[in-house]
Amino acid sequence: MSDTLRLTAEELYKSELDALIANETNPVPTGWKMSPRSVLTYIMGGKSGNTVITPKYMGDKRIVEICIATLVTDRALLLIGEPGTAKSWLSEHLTAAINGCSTRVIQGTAGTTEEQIRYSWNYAMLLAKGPSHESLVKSPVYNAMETGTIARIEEISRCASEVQDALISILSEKRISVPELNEEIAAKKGFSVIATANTRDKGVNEMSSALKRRFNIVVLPAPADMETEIDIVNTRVKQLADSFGLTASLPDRTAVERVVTVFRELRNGQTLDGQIKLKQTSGVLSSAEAISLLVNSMALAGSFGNGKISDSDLAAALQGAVVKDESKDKLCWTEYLENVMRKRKGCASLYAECKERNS
Amino acid sequence: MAEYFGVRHLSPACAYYVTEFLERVKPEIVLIEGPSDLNELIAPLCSLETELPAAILAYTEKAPVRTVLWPYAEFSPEYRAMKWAVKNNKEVMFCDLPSSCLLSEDKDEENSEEKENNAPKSVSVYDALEKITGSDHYSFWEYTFEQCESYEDLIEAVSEYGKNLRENSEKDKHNQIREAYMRKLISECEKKASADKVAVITGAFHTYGIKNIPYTDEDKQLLSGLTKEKSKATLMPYSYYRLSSRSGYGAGSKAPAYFEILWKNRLSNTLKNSAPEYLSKIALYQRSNGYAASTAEVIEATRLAETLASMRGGKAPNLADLRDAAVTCMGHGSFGEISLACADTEIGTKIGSLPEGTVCTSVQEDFTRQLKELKLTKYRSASAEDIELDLRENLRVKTEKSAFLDLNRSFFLHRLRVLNIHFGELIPRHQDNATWAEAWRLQWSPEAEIEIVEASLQGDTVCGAAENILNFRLAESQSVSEAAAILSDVFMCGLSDCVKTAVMAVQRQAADCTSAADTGNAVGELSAIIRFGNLRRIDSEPVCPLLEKLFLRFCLSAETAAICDRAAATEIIGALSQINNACLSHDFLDEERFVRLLENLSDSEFANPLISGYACAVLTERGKISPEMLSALINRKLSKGTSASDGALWFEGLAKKNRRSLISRLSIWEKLCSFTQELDDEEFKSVLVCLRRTFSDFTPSEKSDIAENIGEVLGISKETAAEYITAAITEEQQQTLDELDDFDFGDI
Repeated sequence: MSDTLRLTAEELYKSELDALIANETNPVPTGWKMSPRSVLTYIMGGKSGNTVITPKYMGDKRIVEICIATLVTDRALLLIGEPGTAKSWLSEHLTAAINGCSTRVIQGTAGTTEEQIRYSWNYAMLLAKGPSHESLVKSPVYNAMETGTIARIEEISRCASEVQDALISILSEKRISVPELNEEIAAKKGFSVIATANTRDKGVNEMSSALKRRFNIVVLPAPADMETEIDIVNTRVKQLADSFGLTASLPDRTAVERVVTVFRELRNGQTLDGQIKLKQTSGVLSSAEAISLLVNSMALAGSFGNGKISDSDLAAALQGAVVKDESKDKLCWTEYLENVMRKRKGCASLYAECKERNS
Repeated sequence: MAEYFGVRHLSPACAYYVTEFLERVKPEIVLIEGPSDLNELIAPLCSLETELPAAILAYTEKAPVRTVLWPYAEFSPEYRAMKWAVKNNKEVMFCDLPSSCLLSEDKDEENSEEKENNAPKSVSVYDALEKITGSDHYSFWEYTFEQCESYEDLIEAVSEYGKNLRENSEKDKHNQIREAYMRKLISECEKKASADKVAVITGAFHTYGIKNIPYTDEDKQLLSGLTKEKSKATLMPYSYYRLSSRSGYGAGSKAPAYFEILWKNRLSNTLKNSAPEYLSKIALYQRSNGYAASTAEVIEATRLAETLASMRGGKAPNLADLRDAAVTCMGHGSFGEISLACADTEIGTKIGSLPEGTVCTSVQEDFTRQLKELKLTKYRSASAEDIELDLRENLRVKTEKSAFLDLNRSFFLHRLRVLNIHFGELIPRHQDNATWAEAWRLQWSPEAEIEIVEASLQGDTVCGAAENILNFRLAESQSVSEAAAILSDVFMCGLSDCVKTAVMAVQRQAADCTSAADTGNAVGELSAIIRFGNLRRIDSEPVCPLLEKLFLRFCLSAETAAICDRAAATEIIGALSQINNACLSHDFLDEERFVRLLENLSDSEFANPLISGYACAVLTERGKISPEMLSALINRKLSKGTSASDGALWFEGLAKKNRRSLISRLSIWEKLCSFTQELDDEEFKSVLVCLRRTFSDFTPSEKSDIAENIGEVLGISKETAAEYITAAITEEQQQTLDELDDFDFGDI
């Protein structure tokens, strides 16, 4: 096991990527490591030669097809969705498959500046030698243009609008000018940008329509059905537990099902059978959160319990995940517990634990 | 041996190449999959005056009406084949089971789904296909067949397709009988003309069941079991909408308007233009409806669609690719933004038309039959006649049918009303509580005939069409009062099957409803339904809890809602009166809560004075307010502390109800007189407007009674006062009043 906390996608799935490249039969676009179809296989899972490719994204295949096709047409791709719908995950794996490198990333924050998107200077060098190629600090986007690869911009809507707009000319002209050196860099074939943006978060900036027009926009939905979501949660919990070396046993199917049910019902504002309308909580309750909730419970159970996730561990974790805004969410959660969970078969002990913690 | 051409129904590619096939074969007889007893409809269908889409409709003569449909569009291969035969003067006929046999089969398997077309029903075939190809069968079909660019390609692809379809589907008796029948007709024709001069055009699935297989004794035995049902048939105009929404069979067309684009481009040999045309049409729709959609976006979408198609293994984009591309590039990732544009471009609104005199649909037939059954035939005349209905059971007659004759008439007329067929007009009655009586004015007009034909687009019988249209409106309804009004229509029409859907729709709307006025109106509708009780022989029980819920919702929200402007106040007063009526008629409603609400409203300083006044009037009427309390309230509301216009509005609200008891209370008029006398000129003007409005709908006798009161208060004789009040307005006064039209009401 590597001692790196989190390996990049291309490191983690090196053998799969190598197999796909080795078994390539379809034409490969300029600047790509493999054909669009192989990228699709890498993301959705399948077989390449004798190597089994694990699915990375579980959901609608068409959505992934649109993403890949967008990148083939040299358009930039904008992934939009609620938190925890695997936007960054998908963008990381797309670049890992297409370029074999997912690390050209700009993390968008309120503090991101235009220089971080274009280029900046090494000031010591700048003072010593004046503007020169050595003193130029290239941004990941700059790098991607030079090498004809794909740059990722995470959480683009968190950047200030004027910073976002620095991308407009880069995306339409596919050039970046460095007036200090009296130079203009033209992007090589294969350059593109994948940006991700949240829809329901607080503290995001509206994207200008000029910028939006330069992107093909793909909305990633929450998992369509219960089964898919349970699959996703199971797979990821197992992967994470392995890499963290958690000692507790994996949560059994009923536990996962219960957590996913609670999350789905509160997220959609109604029970699974559509009979009861529920108040929605202020948090988003994504699949990603369900995953981290279960991993936390495993850590709790492994370190302090008997190594098996108990109802009490689950209740504690649920309380923390659901009640984000004390005054509002607590009411929703109480209402949910009384109206839904209390009446559900086999949930009696979980209900009792949850109720105790929520009082 | 005859020549065979397998097609898929409603496929532009097959429609295009079927003509080429016929040109090559040059048959004397063309056999087409279709009802063999309805050959006489081919000629009118191919007439130049006919505009497609149109359908052949066969229906049973006796109720309950069962129907079978064969819909055709411009791009139906069957239609193109008929056209070719008619143009070249060749014999053309249908070769499938007669419609009368199909209708009789239907009866045997009552619970089987509607057999609208002769396509293989086994859904599993398509499921299997989807599993193998990984895409839905529409996409598969489009990639594999619609994009064929030569005759040979298509023939090869289709025959392969038909063969596989056949291998993967289970044998079913229905299809065996049909194919036996086709074999019989083919062998008969082969005897008539030389064998190679017979062309057979059927679904690709059937081609393999009939091609080069002789007609045997076994077939004869299969066919001997056929029964016939008395039936009629007609051509009827069809719509693209119905073609797409009611094509429950695998060979339907989800997107007729899109297929028309494909068809036209194939005719003009510009198949490559289909994708840009589809996307431009979406952009055009968006633009004409006020959304931005640029040419650049169309270009990007076209490029994306082409890339998607090549990734998915197609030569050119199919509908799914185009739609994905449109969503991504023009809809900013969400289908919702372009859903209307897609509906318009893919389904379209085209409706066919037929030459006059060729249409006799089952709805028309059903209409005539019901007229006869309900003894309404004599009203089918151009002169208007009134009819009085007593909806109660007639106990003096023997049969149930005649006991409920009037009720059934009412159902029938209400259904026509819902279908917008102008035959009967409901005459409003003054006796609001006479729930068992209805009066209609019946008049026949040629327009009604057309309206009935139009109704046939909704369903096959008057009842079925009414049900469909109400279900459609329910799905479209935007507010709780709208849904409740439709629920009431459901009861009026006696459509008990619809009740559940309608109640669900009201519930759904109620969950999201925030407007008090809306809730009030819904309560009114629901209350009326319950008041009908079981008179209409539909259980109204499921409506009660709904009413209770909405009633509570109103009581809780009305106080806040009452703080509003004048326009909204009028609406809330309407709602209040509905709630009041409901409360008077149903014991299960919480009356106490309502009275408490009224008390709060009439006492409130924040609520719109008009509403306060009205609440006070309701309380007075119900006797829930003591005379002392009332006069204290009047004193307060008409005192100096309250602004003059508020006082006048309050009085207007008060005077909306039980006027007689108001008139009889001298103290009120004393107060009103002193109130007006204390006003200064400017205030008086604003008050005058309100008071004029208040008294405008009083009757003359009420006015003269008021005059008497005022006379007494002011100490002048009754006659003099009446003279002032009833006298015509002088020019000078009129002028002053006109000036008041421009009066600035400020915050009133």
